[in-house]
Amino acid sequence: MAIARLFLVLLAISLLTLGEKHAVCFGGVVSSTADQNGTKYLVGQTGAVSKIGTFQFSSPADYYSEVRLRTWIELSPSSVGANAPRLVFAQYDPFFPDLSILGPVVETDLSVENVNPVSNGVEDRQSLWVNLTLSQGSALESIIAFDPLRRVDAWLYSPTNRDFATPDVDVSLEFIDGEFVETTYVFTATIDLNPIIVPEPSSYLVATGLSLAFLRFRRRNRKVPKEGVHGAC
Amino acid sequence: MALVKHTCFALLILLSGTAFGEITLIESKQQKGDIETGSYRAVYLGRLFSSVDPSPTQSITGGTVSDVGQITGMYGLVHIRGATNVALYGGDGAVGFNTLINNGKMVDTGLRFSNTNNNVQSFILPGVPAFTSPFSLSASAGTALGDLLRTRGSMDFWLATTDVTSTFTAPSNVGSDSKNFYVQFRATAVPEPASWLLGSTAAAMGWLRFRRKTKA
Repeated sequence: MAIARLFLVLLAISLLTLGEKHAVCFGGVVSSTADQNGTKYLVGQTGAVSKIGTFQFSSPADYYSEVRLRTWIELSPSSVGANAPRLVFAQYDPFFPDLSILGPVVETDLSVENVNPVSNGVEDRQSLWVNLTLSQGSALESIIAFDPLRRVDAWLYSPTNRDFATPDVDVSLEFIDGEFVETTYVFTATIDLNPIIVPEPSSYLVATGLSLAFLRFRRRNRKVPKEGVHGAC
Repeated sequence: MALVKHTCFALLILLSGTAFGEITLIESKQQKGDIETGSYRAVYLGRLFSSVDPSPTQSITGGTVSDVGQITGMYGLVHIRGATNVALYGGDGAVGFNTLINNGKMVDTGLRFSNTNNNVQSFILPGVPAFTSPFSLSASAGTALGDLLRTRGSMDFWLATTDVTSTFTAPSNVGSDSKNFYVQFRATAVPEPASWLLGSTAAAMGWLRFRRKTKA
C-alpha cells in the first residue's frame, strides 16, 4: 500500500511538471544526408550566405535539443571566431528553393571555424553536438513541419565574412589507362538532430492505469496461500 | 448619450487600425535581362506584384496592391556582372527606359549594386530579411513608388546607370541555372473611403458633443 501511495505522489509530481524540460522522451538521433547545393549570395556590404542543401527529417518531434553538421566547406583563414559562418535553417520553398533564406529562418549557435588557418581548400568538416535553445528547437520543428514532406534547407551565414562556400561538385582530370578522364565528385553533407517528444496527457493516464493494474496484480499474487507447502504432510 | 460616446470611441479605434496597417509585398521572377542603351545603360528585370501574371512566390499580406500608401522599406536580390553602383529603379514600362525616365515614369529606389567581378554574382541588399532591417526609402521615392503601384496594379523593375561605357549585365540564365530576382516591399496602408467616412462621422459627432457640453 505504501508503495502505491509513493507511486501516486511521484505521478502527481510528474503530471504537474508536464512541459518542463525533464518531462520528455528522447526519440533517438535523426539524421539526413543531402547533395550539397553551392548557391551563394553576397549579403549587404560585407556578408554572405551559402546553401548547404535540402534535408529531410521524416519523423515528427516536439522540438530538437541538439544539432550536429558534417559538410564539405571552403573556408578562408579569416573564418574564425565571430567571422565563422553559422548554421541557419530556412523553410523549404517549393517554387524557388534557392531563395529560401529570404523567408522564415532559424539561426543556430553552430559555427564552422577554419581549424587550419593556412589552408583555403575544400575540407570535410564534422562539428560537435551544439545545444539548441527551446525557442530554436521549437521553431526548427515548425519550419520542418511546414513542408508536407518535412524538408528543410540548411545555409551557412556570416554578416562579416564573404570568404566561404559550400561547393556542390569537384571536377578533376585523372590520368587513367593512358588517357585523361574527367571525374566529378558530388559533395554531400549530413545533419543530425536530437529530437525531443513530450508525452501527451493521455499517455500519462495510460501509464498510470497500467502501473496501478500491475500493483494490484502483484498484491493479489502475494496474498494467495501457498497450499502446496502447508498441505504436504 | 453614453451609447454615442462609446460608438465614437470604437469607430476611432477601428479607423486608427486601418490607417496604420503595414502591407508586405513579396515576389520573385526570372530576370529578363534585356539591355538598352542611350543616355543610360539599362537592363530590364521584369514585372512584379501584378494580379494578371503572378509568380507562385507572390505574397501580399496586410492588404492588397490597391491599399498601398507609401513604400517605406524594401529588400532586393539581383544577379549582375561587371556593374559599378548600378541603381534599381521601379516604375511603369517594360521597354524604352530612356524615354520612361524622361517622362517621370521611373523612380530610383535608392538601392545600389556593384560587382566589378567578371563573373555573375548574386547580391541581397540590405541583408537577409530575418537578420537585417529593411532599406529605408526616401519619403519622395516611397510616395512616388506607392502611388505608381496603387494606380497601376504592378511595377516594372530596371537596373540602370548613367555610365554609358558600362557593360554590366543581369542575365536571365547562367548555364542551365535560371536567375531569379526578388523584391520585398514594406508599405503603409491607405485607409479605404468607407473608413474615412466612418472616422469623419465619429469625429464630427464627438466634436458636436464637446461643443454642446461647453455651451451648457
